[in-house]
Amino acid sequence: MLLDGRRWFSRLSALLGVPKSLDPIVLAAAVGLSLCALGLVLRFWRRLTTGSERVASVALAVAVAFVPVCGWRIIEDLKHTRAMTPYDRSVAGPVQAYLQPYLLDGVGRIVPQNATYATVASQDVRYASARAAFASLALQSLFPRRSVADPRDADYVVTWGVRPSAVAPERRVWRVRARSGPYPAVYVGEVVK
Amino acid sequence: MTAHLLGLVLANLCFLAAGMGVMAAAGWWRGVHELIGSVGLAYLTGVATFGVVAQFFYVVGASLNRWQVLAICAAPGLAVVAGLRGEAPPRPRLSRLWLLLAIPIGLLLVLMAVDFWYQPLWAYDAWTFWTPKAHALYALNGLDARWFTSADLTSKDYPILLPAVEAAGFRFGGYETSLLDVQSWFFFVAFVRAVYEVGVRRSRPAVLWAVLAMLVVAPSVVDQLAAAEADVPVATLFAAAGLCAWVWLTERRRAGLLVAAVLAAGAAATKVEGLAFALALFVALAFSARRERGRAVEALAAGAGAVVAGALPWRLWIAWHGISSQASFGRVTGAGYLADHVSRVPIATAYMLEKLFDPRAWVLLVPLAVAVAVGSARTERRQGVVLVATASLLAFAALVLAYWSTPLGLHYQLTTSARRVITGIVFFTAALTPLLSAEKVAPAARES
Repeated sequence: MLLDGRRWFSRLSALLGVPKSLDPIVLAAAVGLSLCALGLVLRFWRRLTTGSERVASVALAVAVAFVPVCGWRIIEDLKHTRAMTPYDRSVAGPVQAYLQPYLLDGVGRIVPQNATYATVASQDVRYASARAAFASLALQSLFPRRSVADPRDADYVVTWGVRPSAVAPERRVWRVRARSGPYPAVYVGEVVK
Repeated sequence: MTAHLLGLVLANLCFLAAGMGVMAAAGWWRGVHELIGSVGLAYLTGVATFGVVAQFFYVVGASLNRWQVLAICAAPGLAVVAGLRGEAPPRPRLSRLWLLLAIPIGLLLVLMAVDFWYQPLWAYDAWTFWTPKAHALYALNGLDARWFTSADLTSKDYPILLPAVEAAGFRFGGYETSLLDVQSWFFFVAFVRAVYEVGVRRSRPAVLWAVLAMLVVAPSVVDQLAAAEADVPVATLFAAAGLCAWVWLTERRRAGLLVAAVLAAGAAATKVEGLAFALALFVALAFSARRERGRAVEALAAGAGAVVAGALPWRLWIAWHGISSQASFGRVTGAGYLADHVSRVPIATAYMLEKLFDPRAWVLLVPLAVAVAVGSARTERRQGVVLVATASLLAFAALVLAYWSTPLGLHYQLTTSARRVITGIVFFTAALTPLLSAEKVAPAARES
């Protein structure tokens, strides 16, 4: 019963720091508080004159059970987020998308402020979410430069796991990050117009 | 970071002042006591007012520096002076038992604020386009068409009320993304307060406090607030508009309709589904008032005004710059496309219903609303039940239509967004549940 309850609550969509299963003490507190609240509802049942009030009182007793659960989730999350360094906080978005946040660190020095760029990520990048978020990381890292859809229309191409020459005629190529584990190399290519 | 927080608080106080002014001008409150009793609703009205006006100014090329933000808020805020001259009606008395419940609710809200203080910006939509848009409005001094049409910017067509609000915060406190969860928290606290403000004189305490408690402990609320996306803001604006619409419908107070229109314009300027929700609300309102043709027309006119103010400037801007809209009218009305994908309707309907009724996300908010509505259907509150049921069903149908006509994979769309987009319907039904439980329909307080 207790285990089932822990699993039932664990299917809640998680905050960053919330464990997958509920602490048994919190579950016991939730059940205990809810029973107390139900007892109070029964005690004052006769004072509740309408069906709406009676249904609402039972709902309120259920809500009371969620108070320790809600508090526990927030505190567990706080334990995690308080331990994060300012740098961890600044890169939490890309990290959640399985992206190395420093992937494009050197690119801003190569692409001029007024230049346009296009991004291409190879299918060899193992994580689909990382592949999809690569363009957004570029948008953030290269702000305020403007991106274009077609690499051949861009001044520069920023590629991940693809040689720039494969997507647009190149004048010059920089390898800004070498292959690292499952993550392929990142290149910047200046496009011939 | 403390300086950033002070800046954020200052920006939000400006929104509050603007909202107080708009509500005074509409005739919602008179005197200090009524002003205090309208703070939550005033904040949401202020955010909606600022967001809609800011969106318009951005579209016409303004940069909205700190002084311009102050001016936008100060102009309606001046009406507060006139509102303070009125006399206050007696304040409602609450029993101590119910006030005791306010303690855990308040403590949980404070705990949430502490959590959001430390919360980084991690949710996908937040760091990929909501906050980058706000940053661009701030750093590029306005709606720079070169950047806002960038190929790598996702959801380019989404309206910019939330980025405009966040950019206003940056104007006062500097660029700091960690506090955007706190900005979402302001929306939610104001909403909880607004439900209390409108409900306390009009509903049964057991129902009101059950709703307030469930709103605060609902796990989906804290999850979504931590994500700092636009779903909670649009839901709070829509639901608050519903509260004001109720006041217009049942108490015949014109101020209700005016404030509802401002809030609905805000919802339409926040997300595409906000526009659908606003339309659903005013069509339902006109339907509920159909026995008096003049009032039905009035409701439709207010809805049309809200939609035009909230959505039209932005739609014109994206059309002018060749940005395609994800909510394509062609797909929605394309009979061939819809016929080919008709199997999506039961799937999307069942999936969203499961999310709406999931107690692990929303406790018992929706089941309570259904139970109270069924109980009130044969009473003098029938007109209110019709409003809540019709608006909820139309809003739900709009979401089903969006999933039916999506060019993306249905499974992907449902799993990534359904739990969030239903928030508007949950908040709307929850906010109006206490009003459905009223002992008797409140008499018209005054014609205003």
